[in-house]
Amino acid sequence: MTELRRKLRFVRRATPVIPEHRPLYKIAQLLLILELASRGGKSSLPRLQLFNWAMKKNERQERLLRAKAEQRLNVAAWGFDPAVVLALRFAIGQSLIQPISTSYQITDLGSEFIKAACKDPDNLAGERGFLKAVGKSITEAMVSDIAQTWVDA
Amino acid sequence: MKIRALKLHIVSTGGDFGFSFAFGKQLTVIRGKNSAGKSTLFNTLLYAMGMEELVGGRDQTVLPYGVRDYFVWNGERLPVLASEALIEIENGEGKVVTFRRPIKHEQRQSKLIEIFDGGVLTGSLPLSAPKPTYVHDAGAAQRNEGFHRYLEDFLGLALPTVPTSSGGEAKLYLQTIFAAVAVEQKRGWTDYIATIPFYGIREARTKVVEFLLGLSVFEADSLRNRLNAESVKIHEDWVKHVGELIRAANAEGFLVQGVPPRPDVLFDEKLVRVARREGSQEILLADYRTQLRQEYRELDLRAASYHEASGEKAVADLDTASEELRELSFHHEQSTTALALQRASLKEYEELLAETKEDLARNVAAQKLKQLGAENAIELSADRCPTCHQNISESLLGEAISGPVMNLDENIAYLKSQRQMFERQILGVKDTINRLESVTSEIGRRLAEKRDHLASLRGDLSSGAVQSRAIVRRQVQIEAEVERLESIERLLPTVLAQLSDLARALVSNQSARRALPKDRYSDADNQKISIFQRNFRANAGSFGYESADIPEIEINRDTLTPVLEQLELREISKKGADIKADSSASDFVRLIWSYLLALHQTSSSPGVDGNHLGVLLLDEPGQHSMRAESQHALLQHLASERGLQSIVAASFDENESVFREATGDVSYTLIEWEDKLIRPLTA
Repeated sequence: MTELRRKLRFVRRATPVIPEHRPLYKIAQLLLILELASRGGKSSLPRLQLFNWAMKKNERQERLLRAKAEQRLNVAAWGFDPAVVLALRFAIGQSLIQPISTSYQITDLGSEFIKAACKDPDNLAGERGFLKAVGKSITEAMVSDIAQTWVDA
Repeated sequence: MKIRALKLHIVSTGGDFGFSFAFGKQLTVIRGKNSAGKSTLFNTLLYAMGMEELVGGRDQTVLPYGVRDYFVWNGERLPVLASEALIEIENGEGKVVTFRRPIKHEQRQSKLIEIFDGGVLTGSLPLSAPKPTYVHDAGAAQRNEGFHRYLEDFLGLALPTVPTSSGGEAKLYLQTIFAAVAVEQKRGWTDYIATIPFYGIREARTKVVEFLLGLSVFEADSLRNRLNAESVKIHEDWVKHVGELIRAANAEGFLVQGVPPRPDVLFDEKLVRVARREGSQEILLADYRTQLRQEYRELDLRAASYHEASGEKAVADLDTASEELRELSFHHEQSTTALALQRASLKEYEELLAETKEDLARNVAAQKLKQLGAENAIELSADRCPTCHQNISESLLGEAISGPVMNLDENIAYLKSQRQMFERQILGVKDTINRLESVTSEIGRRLAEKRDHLASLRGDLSSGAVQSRAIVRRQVQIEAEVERLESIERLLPTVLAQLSDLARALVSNQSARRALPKDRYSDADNQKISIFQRNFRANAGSFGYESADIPEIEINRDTLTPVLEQLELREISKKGADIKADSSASDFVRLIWSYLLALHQTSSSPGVDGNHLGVLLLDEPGQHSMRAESQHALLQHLASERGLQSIVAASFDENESVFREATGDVSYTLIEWEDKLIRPLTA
């Protein structure tokens, strides 16, 4: 009889999360792009997506570094990450980033926050190394040249 | 120990300067205004005894510039050309010596302390026949010419050996003992025995108190420590010998059975087998060697009859050899494949590990961001939407994932355990690879031998030689292999004997450890601690401690510090961890007085036979605007404590009435000076 009374019980365990999907982590990445790799702390959405896409893999980062040397972007297309858009919304709600006519700009608060985060040299070390190496060399014009081809095709 | 007199001697361009004071046998009060040189006097005293580490430094750097650089006299700035400190000390047997230590000197280093027999300062004996000793050099506490070693002998102490935090042993250095009898002003009043210099001694304060109270723990401690170290050594030796044997056996394709990887008291060398697998069979080393010898003899016979042998026989030999070669090739193929697979999985694991490590670093970054966000009042740090203030998921794509997600802490813990798992896997795979490599290389060697053999057989067959090259070659191989096997056989009994010895050593180590007393303190020790507790409570009461109910204060049996309901009594901590254990600042200082005094009272109690030095040097005990009546109680206790010489430096709030109240009807020797401590020395 005891056998019948036995029950199977399932315990629902939480799943791990990719760190860059933590809201603040993604926001910090975006702030870094605006702070370190964008003129005037401003960038269009496709350009933000390009950097976000590049930061996911080493070979993509190398392509952007090559683009810096050649002054021409040799990337046919890149992924658009919904997490970036969501993170942008949150960042705007928190006044870390503000929307301007066709692009997004880092606010003073955002700049302060990311500077404080960078006081620890280990923090976001990979992202910072890459973005500093690229610098502000990937211009809006280079990005929109590529984006133009999508419309024509 | 009694400090009889102290002298500072400065040679300047303006002549001889300094100070010279004699101390009373009981209480001496050094009275001086703030910054009048009380601490100069106090630190010079410690310096002259080689105890300046209590002030937090080494050599003359702990002394103010006034005694080593320049000082001002009559408005004139006088440079110090040379300076030295002299101190006269008497031990328990009434023997008097004088120490002289340079502060600033062209030739003599501050490490040098010269010892003169007799009282040079009070008896005005000549400075002759010095015995040179050194402080702070390696061995200053151990070697004969070390000053601390000398002082230890002179004071009749036998300092015990105590465990260090690195697992070794060290002497309970004399400086640690002095920390319990000399309290300097800056850090000294921050804790019970606060200024013990760092020597890596584990629980140094507890050890010092145990020594002063004459507790019997040191022998047991030292034994326990030795047994622990011995057990570690047994383990290391075992692993070393076993590894040696296994390596030698594996190189010849043999496996060692019956040897536990870690020391085991049940180890029996009769159960050890060294064997190799041939197909499904196991062959012992000795049997295998006999087989080889047998083969060798058969080859001899065949060589003798070789020229008579028919071509048929040679062809049959060739067939057998080819068959064996095919089989070996197959084995070789198998083991190299396995090796390749293992290497591939090692690479994979290493990549996974690298990924996990990177993920971990990013998670830690995310956590730091979250903390930073919380400090900057960013709502997302509390998982709330900044616009609508609703709770949001911890993941940006939370809507797309069904089910709960880990929070950051859980995720970091999860990744850490992943990392640990991968690290273990990698170790295991590396082990397997090592084993496979040795097996593969052994098969490879046999394969090469067999190929040689086969080639010689073919040569024999086609050339029709009188002497078979194949037989000779094979015989040479057998000879070499037998030699290697014999070296393993020679190694085996020595290693097994060593392992048996280690197993026996482990048995006696474990039984000795079991025989150690379970309780740290013996009954006699507990009694001494009870006396200490009683004295401490009585002192606290008479010094006017009122932050807690005194009868509820106990001396903790683990740390030997005062506790209230198992919480150490301390000064009010800013974080306010527990109100019960907090005392106001001046009340905490009262506890320190009580503690230091109780150490002497207990040590000199009948039947305790403690090791207290019999002196107490207190620099500015009236901390935190201590009430004058409490200071009075302290001085009264010090003056009436038998066998205790105490030297108290104090400013008495620079107030005549406080001084009079604190010292009223107390008998003491007074040291005070006008204006400047450093003045011309009169001969």
